[in-house]
Amino acid sequence: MALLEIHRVSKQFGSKTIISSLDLNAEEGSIFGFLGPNGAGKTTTIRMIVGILRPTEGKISISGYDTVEDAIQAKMITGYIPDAPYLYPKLTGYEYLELVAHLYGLKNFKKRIFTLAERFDLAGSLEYFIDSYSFGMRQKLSIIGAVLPNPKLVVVDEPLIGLDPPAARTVKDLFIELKKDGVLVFMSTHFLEIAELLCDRVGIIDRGELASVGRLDELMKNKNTRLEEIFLRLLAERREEGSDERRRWEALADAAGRSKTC
Amino acid sequence: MLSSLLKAELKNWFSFIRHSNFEDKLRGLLFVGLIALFFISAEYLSFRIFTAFSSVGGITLEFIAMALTMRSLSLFFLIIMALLFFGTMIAAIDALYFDSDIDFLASKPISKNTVLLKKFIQIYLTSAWIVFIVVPPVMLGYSRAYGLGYSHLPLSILALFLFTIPAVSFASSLVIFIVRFMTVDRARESVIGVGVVISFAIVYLYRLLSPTNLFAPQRLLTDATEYIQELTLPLSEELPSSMMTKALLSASAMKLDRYFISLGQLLIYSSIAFTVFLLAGYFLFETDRPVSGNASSRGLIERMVRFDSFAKYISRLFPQRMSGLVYKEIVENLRDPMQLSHLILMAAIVALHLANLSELPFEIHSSSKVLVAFLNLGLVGFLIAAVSVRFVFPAPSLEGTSFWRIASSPVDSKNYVILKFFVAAAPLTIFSLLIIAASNSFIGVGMDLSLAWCIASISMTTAISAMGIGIGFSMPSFHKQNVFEISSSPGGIVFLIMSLLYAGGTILILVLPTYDAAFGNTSYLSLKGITALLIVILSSLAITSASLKTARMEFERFTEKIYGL
Repeated sequence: MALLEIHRVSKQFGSKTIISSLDLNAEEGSIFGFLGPNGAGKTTTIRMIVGILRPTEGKISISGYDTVEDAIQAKMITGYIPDAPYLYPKLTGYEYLELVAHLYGLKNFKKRIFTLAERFDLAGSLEYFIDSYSFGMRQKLSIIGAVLPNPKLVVVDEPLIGLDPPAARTVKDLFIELKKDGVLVFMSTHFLEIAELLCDRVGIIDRGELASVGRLDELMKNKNTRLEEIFLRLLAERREEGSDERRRWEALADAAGRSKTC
Repeated sequence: MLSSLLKAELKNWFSFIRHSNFEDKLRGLLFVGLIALFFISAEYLSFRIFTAFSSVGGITLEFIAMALTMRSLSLFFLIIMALLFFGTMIAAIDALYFDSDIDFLASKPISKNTVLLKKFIQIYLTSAWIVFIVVPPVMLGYSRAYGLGYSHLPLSILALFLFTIPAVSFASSLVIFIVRFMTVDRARESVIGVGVVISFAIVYLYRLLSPTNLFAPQRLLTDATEYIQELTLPLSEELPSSMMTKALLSASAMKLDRYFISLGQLLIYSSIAFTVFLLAGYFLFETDRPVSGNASSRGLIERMVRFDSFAKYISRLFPQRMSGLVYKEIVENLRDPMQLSHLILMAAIVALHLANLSELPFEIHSSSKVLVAFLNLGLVGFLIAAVSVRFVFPAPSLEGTSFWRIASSPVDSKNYVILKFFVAAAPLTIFSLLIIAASNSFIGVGMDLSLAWCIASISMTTAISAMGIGIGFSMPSFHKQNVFEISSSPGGIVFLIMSLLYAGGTILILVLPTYDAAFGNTSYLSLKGITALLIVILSSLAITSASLKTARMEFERFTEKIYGL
């Protein structure tokens, strides 16, 4: 059974439809890449998965728990790393993680907090107020907060933004470890190289609709084709025949195709 | 260049209004309606007060009536001036050092003077607009009470404009000056100290800059005691609040020669103050001042009083899943220097009020005692409304962009709303009970009255706190830079007006049994008194329940407001 099931989900803000009839499943012990151009609806979908927004229609369930009807149970097994790490500025790093631990009802969490913080080179800064942290440090704290309660599903919106190379490496390793431990990592990213490197399956969303979904090896039948070219060509095909936009996407896909041979 | 920057700001505003949805427009209309209601109520109240003053002692004692009017107007403008100064300091720190457009302006080929002028206009509009909402109804009430007509209003508004410039200019200059010597965060903290000395410093400064003294500097050498004694008088000639009063009185009497003398004095003050701002800005203002210093440093006050230990102790009283949230709510409020400074100022005002009560001549007639104590209950109601608009109403908005943490965590919305309410209502209830108990003990009213008013005070605090949470969730302001701006947002003003109306209503319900207790020498716990108390309790319960229900409903839509399009 899929850990995450998105069934015919639509989302409207006022009269504007952002997501339209989205169907998607993802298995535990895997990394799912959720790709799409700017404004495609990736972040809105992610916010519905973690229970921040409610679907206008359809249903999302995590391990069988409906994210609206059984919101508390669904959230208990979900960790979320947002695209911008807005945290409480007047708490120290440790106080923030302690808050997360309390919210999830964790006991004896102190050792785990320091183990994770050491891994992200943040242990020495935990006593400082968050408003003195750099963007990257906040992002690290947000990642630690997401994995601290040992969730079954980790939902990540642009995981590597603001991270320095060592931290980016740590995040990649962490995701692979989580996958081995049976956790589903649902990740949205603009970095197609990262998706290519980490993901088992990818879904491409465009203008609120799922344009393509499948295993990465199935999508990349031709070993010489890069995910970037597939992504750009798919988006070009979805544009109106003969339109400027289509021509622009096709030109970009051609350029991506040429660059792989260099 | 300046006009392009201002045009962009205006376009942004108009675009915001044009593209707001129907619900937001409806809220906007409600806001305008409440402002109108406030305007009419304030005008009526002022009219009643001035009418009462004008009839003091009959025609033969007209000069007493005039003195009362002068005194009350001068005090009114003095309070406005001090609050404007304090509010401007907070607004100036944010506008000059934290505003999102600072980096944009600094990276563009714009002269420093243009940036300063743009920022001055922004600071002025942010902090002084409330003066133009509060003062005109008092002017109208005054005009009506004395039958002066309304043709003087443009002249009075012009004087009001000049009256507000010095406070805004000096406060902004002081901020620029302070930030030269410390980080911006530390400057925010020092607003606490500034708030305490402000009432002394402002008077002293104006005295030194008085045009009279510029022409007769030997006056500065007069006896220090006499000097300080004169400065402590709210009617001191040297204060712009007195000049504003004279300008208003002269304009309304159409004595234009006197009006222009007062206006000229205000103009001199404004020019000096604005020049000081420009000089301070030109020589001292830098956009790249360090915002926070040593990352580990806690504020000076927190190093003296460990809030975290106190917060931890309180949070342990709650179930584990909620204890983290209780801790967060407490320390976030106490670690915010602006919140803390406001709390200290409020405490100082309450202490002064209690000290005043303890100095009252207690040989006064028992009916007078009851009336004084009853007025004190009304004052507590208004005080709770004023404190709530700073501490309770902004609580939901302050979550703002960090709300994802709560929204994506396994937190029940009902528990969360109740927790927010509890964290607000508990200290306020203790605060109001302490004032009522202490003042009743000083005044020496009977046990029955004390008990009744303690119950009334708990009812008021509970309902006002719940209203703060309800309206805070319904009309949030996420993108404001600080608590001060959230409090003066449309939602904050709606809350303030509604809580004042509620407090006024409660007082009205209690008037009749209080009258009987004061003049009929009957116990307050009579049928009439108990019925009035029951009405107060039931109305408080109804308002609390409705407000918390509204908050819970709005909680569900809160994320849409933050993260929606």
